[in-house]
Amino acid sequence: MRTQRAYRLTGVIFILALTAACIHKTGGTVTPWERVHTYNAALAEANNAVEQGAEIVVSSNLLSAPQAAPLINMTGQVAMLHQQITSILAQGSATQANVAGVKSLVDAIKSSIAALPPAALGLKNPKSQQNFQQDVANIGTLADSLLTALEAVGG
Amino acid sequence: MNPQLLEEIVALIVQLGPLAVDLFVKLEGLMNLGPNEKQNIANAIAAANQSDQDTVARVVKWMAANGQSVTFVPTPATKS
Repeated sequence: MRTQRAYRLTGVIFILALTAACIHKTGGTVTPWERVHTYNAALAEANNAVEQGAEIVVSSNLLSAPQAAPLINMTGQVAMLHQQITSILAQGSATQANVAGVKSLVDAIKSSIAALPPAALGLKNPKSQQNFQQDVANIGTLADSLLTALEAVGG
Repeated sequence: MNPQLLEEIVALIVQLGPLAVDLFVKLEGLMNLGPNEKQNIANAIAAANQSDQDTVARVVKWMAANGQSVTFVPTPATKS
């Protein structure tokens, strides 16, 4: 049960972040830049949640540290890449160079996810394995959403 | 908020426990914007940076505590 919990943490994030109607603004319409930055912050939170979930699984003795290490390392890599995305977005300009820079970093994030071993964490329970893979995939989905929103600003 | 969506979120929180509640509260804060665009963006940037810094710090600490090597590869901006 606890394994299931740890691997379903980002389910909340996924539902919230990918439903545009969930972004509310007091007294006005959500601007394209607000949408970009909200997706951007949600990506950081999703990645952080996956890291914490993996730590919980290890501390619960459900998996060994070596088994979890590739995933935990990946979240650190994603965070470092994502800091650069935030830095570009903070310039407040969707120039072609900035959009290309973000796209390159989004591709790098997705590559980091794809580089995880196919049976990452080696979960024996197929359902838990499926949930875990979905949560990790959600990070890539959020990265794509962020890029799409940015391209809309620049378009 | 869409009632069906709210129902799904509540179901997830019930299923997931305290950590999910914490995450939900954080995301609720992100998704509910104030009237000032500049302030909203500044808040989102601060939240993203804080979360990323926390993730990197946690990873480095956990890897060291568990005898694992951090193997971050050069990122596009840092490649020579």
